Amino acid sequence: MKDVVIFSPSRLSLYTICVTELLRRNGFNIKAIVVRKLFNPNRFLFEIKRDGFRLIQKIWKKIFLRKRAYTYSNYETIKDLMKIENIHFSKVDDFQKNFKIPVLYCKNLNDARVIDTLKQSEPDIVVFTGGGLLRNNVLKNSGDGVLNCHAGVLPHYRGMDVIEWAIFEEHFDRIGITVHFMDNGIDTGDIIQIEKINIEQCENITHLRNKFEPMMCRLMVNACIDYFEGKRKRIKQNLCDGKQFFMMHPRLKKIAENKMKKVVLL
Amino acid sequence: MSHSLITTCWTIIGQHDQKSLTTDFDPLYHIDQYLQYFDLAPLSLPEHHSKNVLSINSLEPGFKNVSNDILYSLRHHIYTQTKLEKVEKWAEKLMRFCEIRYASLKKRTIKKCRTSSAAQLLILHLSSFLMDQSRSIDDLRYLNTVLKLLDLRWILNKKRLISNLSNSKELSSALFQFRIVLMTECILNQIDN
Repeated sequence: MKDVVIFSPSRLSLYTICVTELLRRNGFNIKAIVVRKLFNPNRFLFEIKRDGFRLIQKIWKKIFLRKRAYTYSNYETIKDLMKIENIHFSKVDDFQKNFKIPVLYCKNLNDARVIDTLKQSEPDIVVFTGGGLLRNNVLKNSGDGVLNCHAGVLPHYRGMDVIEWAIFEEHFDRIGITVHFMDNGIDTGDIIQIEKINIEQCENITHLRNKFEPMMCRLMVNACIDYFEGKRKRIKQNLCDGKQFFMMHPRLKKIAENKMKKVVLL
Repeated sequence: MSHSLITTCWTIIGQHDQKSLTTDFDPLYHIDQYLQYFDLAPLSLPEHHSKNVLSINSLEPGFKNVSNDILYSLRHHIYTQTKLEKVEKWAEKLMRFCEIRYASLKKRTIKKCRTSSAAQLLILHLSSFLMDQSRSIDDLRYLNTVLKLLDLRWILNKKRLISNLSNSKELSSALFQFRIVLMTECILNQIDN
């Protein structure tokens, strides 16, 4: 039985809930869940500077709407995954109530308390479901490392809005998900598994993102299982094969949306 | 920005005498292909000279070392297709700086340049360099950064562009604003079609 610590961006994250529960059901021992406090002025200021209006949309979807954000669709969403897998938890704290898994709240995942928790629990691996950049001190106390699921195909598309960038550059064969170990850089760590995704059935980029979420949950869990069974090895990235992308400007995003519509209609 | 506004701006620019248009750092050179896209006739400016070109070899790429003279030299290397590796390093570093420090860019640039008008000119010149690089290596990440910079009202106020072009006091900044708008609109139209 492998010991795992989960890093979560918020107590209400459906992605964290699904990944944690699926790992638990697959025999992983969840030693602790470390959650970033939701209402932290510094975090809000940093994110509003970075994301602008998009942060408001993100808060509305992830905190207020939650499952209601997913209307009927012809593809599986995270809401469907929870139904299929019979996951009824609504917040991360439910794991503490039901399975006595310690939940630690922190302002920042690099806090000294988080490092203490890692040192005490000595995990075999840390599974990252969001919460910001990690410093060396956290990375080196995380057993084999910190596993992240990136919504883009590495090493080609590092950074932000990579689904949009791949569509914009018409690299439809480079749309997918990568499970990789985190390091000091942005999405530059060793790759464990890549899964490419067909954009058909999705009317727009929002639908595509919704389609990604359950796939990311499953891929993260499967990658963990395969990694410890020795079926998957760490593959070093050749950074020259890709570029780091930044948040896409709305005018370019509109062009990407149009390109996607054209491809889906074909 | 609409086609008609670009045409109006170009008409106003054409009313200036040649000498005032050959301001520092040549904002109106190497734009013929973009003018052509909007059916605008190029101006007959005096022959381009590059006596201000500095050596970029000794300087470490980054915002702390950037200046209008360096940006001018980097643009010159793009036009002459020389030292492109070094130019790419500068472009990548400056793009990353603008993206990561976007929220504090005004404060940092004013601190570096001392006045807000000098800060505006530096960022406009930097945007112009990133646009040239975007076109040169066909990398639209640079265009993306410039579009975000143009959203900052202290860098570009589209409503005041026409009046700024008529005013000879800060003509350099206004000409750079026109240059960048012309280039971005042309490239965006080309991608969209």
